[in-house]
Amino acid sequence: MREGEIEKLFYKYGEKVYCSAFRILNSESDAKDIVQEVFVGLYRVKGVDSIKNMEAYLATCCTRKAIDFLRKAKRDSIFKDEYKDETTEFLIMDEDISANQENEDLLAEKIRKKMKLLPDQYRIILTLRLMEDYGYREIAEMTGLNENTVRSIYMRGKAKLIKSIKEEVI
Amino acid sequence: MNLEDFMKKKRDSLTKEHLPDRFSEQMLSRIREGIRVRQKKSRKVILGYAVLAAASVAILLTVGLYIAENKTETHTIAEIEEYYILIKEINQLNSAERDYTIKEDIIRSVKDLTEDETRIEEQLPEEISKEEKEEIIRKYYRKKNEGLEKLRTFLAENK
Repeated sequence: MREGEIEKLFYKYGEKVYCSAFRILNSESDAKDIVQEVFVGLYRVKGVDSIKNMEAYLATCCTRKAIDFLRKAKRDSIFKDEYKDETTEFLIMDEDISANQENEDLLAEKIRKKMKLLPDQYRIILTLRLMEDYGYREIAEMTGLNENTVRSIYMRGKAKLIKSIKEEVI
Repeated sequence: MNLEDFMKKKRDSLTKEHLPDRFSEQMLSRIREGIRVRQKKSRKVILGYAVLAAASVAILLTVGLYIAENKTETHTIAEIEEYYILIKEINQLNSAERDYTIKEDIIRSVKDLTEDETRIEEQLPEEISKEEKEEIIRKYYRKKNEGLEKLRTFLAENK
C-alpha cells in the first residue's frame, strides 16, 4: 500500500486504533507504538482491495499486536490465571448497576475508571469481551488460555468490577 | 440493567479515550519514518539480490564463453544447456520479491540478456563450418557479457 493511502486510513481510523490499543495496554507510549506498527505494517500489505472491512481489519491487527506485545513484555505471566484462588463470594450478586444511577454518562465514566484499576488480566479479558466484541474462543486463541479459563476470568472480573462500582455508590 | 447491556448501550462513550497532545501530527511523523525504514531495508535486500544475480550470471556467461571457445560443438551445447538452467533458477529465486520498478527493470534486463526463445546454436544454418559457428557464438556471448558488465557497474554505482 502506498504512503498516501496509509495516511488517509490513519486520518480515518487512527484514533480508534489508538483507543483500542490503549484499552488493552493501559499505557500511552505502548499504545502509540502499536498504532505505529499497525499502520506501518500496511505498507507491506498487498491486495488491499480484497480487505472488505478495513476498520475490522485494523481493529484485529491492533488487538493481536497489543496482546503479543503484552505476552512478550510480561513473558506470558499476564495470561496465567493467577487469581484463580481469589474468593468468589461476590460472584453471586445483583448485577443490576443502573437502579441508583441518576446519570448514565457519569456511570459510564465510572466504569471506564474502574476498569483501568482492575488487575491486568481482568481488565484485558473484560475489554476484549465487552468492548472489542470478541467471543470466548477467540480470546482463548489470542491469549493462549483455555476457553473455560477465559470464561472464569471474565466472570470474576465482571463481579469485581460491579462490586467496585457499587461500593463507591454506597 | 446489567453490566453487559449497559456497556453495549454506552459503547461510544466507553470506548473513547483521551488522546495525547498533538496525536495525529506525532503519529503521522512516526508512521512516515517507519515506512522510510522499511523502504530502505527492502531496497538493500533487493539490490543485494540483484548484484548477486548479475554476478552469478556474469560468471556463468564467462564459463559459457570459455566452453564455447575451448570445447567441441557437442560439449558446448550440452554445457551451455546446463548453464541456461542455472540462470533460470536464479531468475526464479529473485522473482519472489517484485516491489520496486528498479528491481523489475534489473530482472527484465537480466532476462533479456540470458533468455533466448531459440538458442543461437540452433539458429545457425548447417552449411556453415564448425569454426564459423564457434566464431558467431563467441561474438554473441561477448555482447551479452558486455551488457551484464554494464548492469553490474550500474548496480555497484547505485548500491
